[in-house]
Formats: sequence, structure tokens, C-alpha cells
Amino acid sequence: MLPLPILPVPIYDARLLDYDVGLNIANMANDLPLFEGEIPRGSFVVVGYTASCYLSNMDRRWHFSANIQWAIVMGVPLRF
Amino acid sequence: MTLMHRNCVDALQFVQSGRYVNPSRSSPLLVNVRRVSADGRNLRLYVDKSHAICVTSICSTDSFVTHVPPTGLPQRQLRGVVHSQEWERLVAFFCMVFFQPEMDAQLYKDALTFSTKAGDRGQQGEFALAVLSLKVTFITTGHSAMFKQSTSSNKQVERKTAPVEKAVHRDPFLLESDSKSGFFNSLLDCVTTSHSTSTYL
Repeated sequence: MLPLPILPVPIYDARLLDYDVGLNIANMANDLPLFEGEIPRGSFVVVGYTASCYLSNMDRRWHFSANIQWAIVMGVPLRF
Repeated sequence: MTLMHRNCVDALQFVQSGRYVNPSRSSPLLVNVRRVSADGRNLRLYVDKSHAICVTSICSTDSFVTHVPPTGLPQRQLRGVVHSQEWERLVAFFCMVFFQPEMDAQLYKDALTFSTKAGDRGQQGEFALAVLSLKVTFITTGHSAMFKQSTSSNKQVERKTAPVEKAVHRDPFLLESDSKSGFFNSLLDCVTTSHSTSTYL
């Protein structure tokens, strides 16, 4: 598989820490360690994204797109 | 399952903190929408003068954050199912703030796709360009939070997949990335000479 020449998306790991998203969200890069590897299927993930809406030239309909900025893994399944 | 229950509840109940917004819980009155193109066809969500960072809790289904997905555009992707009730509120929130009665989104088997801008097609190598996506329609009636999902039979799936593929190929992000292919190629050359993938990161 090829590595992507696109800006990396940081994945943080909050599985073993007492972490309140509402209190510390702007400082998550300092508070949380990075999560290694891909996120397992069935994980509880908090995802941060910017939202945009555009009118497609093809079908003349409005499309919603979510552009991921970061993600926090809150929990992973026992077996994956 | 390895998790701390309190963290998950806090994440679900998060409302808003500055530019960080939970679209399932926050008020549409606290955000604003700006046109980012001259023709008004591209709208972004803002809080005051900053981009709004939407915060949503999901159950992940597919993760292509560190490597290229086997199909589709070369972009980082995270797919996940938004939890019940949170999903309906999210749909109502976005339809209301973007002032659209309905919108199309990248949904496949109830999982919403969160993705980055697509890279250059030339770097995809042998990967197919098929896009595994399913067209699902957001529908709101007035200011209520009604939502209909047009997926039930396989016939509908086949019929609705085709137009989305075309739409994705006309994605403005893709057009933008095509114009920057020289930049990505130079990056690729850089890695080829140094034999290190960390150059990208």
C-alpha cells in the first residue's frame, strides 16, 4: 500500500485517560498520546471535521462534505 | 471493550466550546455560513471568523487514515455510523444552517465518510477508481428534523450508485488537486530518492 502525500490526520488515544472532550478539546494535542495504526472496526471514535456544502455541476444538486481534521479513539472492541 | 465510560458520555453530551461545535447538540443560531467562492456554490460553516470544527461521535466501520483505500480516490478516509438520535439531529442541523431542504452525502451502509482532499490520480497505481458510495438523501421538512434514507432494496442501490460516481469525479477538491499534480510528483520523487516514507509526514 502506498503512503499518502496528503497532510496527515492525527489520531489521538483516550482509551486509558480520564478525558472530557468539553473541557480540554482545544488542547488535545498536548493532553493525548497518538494512536498507532488504523482505527479498528467498531471503535468509539470522536471525529473533528469541517463541514462544507457545494452545488455539483454534474447533477445540479447540493452535496454535503465532511473534511476530517483529527480523531480521538475513545474505545476499541475487545476482538478485532 | 477497552474504554472509559465517562469519556464516551462526555463526548456524546459535548455541545460547543469556541469554534468546536457538536452539530447534534449545538444551536444553529451559534454558527454562520460563508460563501467561499465567487459564484456562491461553495459554502463553509464558521463560528465568528474561524472555521467551525464539528465534533461528532461515531462507531467506526472503515479506517483508511494511514494508507490508501483499496478502491476510490487516493485520500485519507474514516467511515463511521453516527449514533441514533445524534444522526437525526446532525442532519437537521446541517440542512438548516446550509438552508437546503435536502443534500446528498457520502454514505455507505449508514456510514458517513469523513475524508481529506483527494491526491493525484496518477499515484493510485493499480487501484481502481470505483467509488464505493451510496447516494442517500437528507430530507427535512420546514424546521422539523424529519429524515428519510433511500436504501431498502438492491435495485435502489444499483440505480443510485452510478450518479454519485459521476458527481465525485467532478468534485472541486479533485479538480484542485489535479492542478497540483506537479507538486505531488515532486514529493514522490523526493521519497523515491531518499527511500523514506517519513518525508511526507
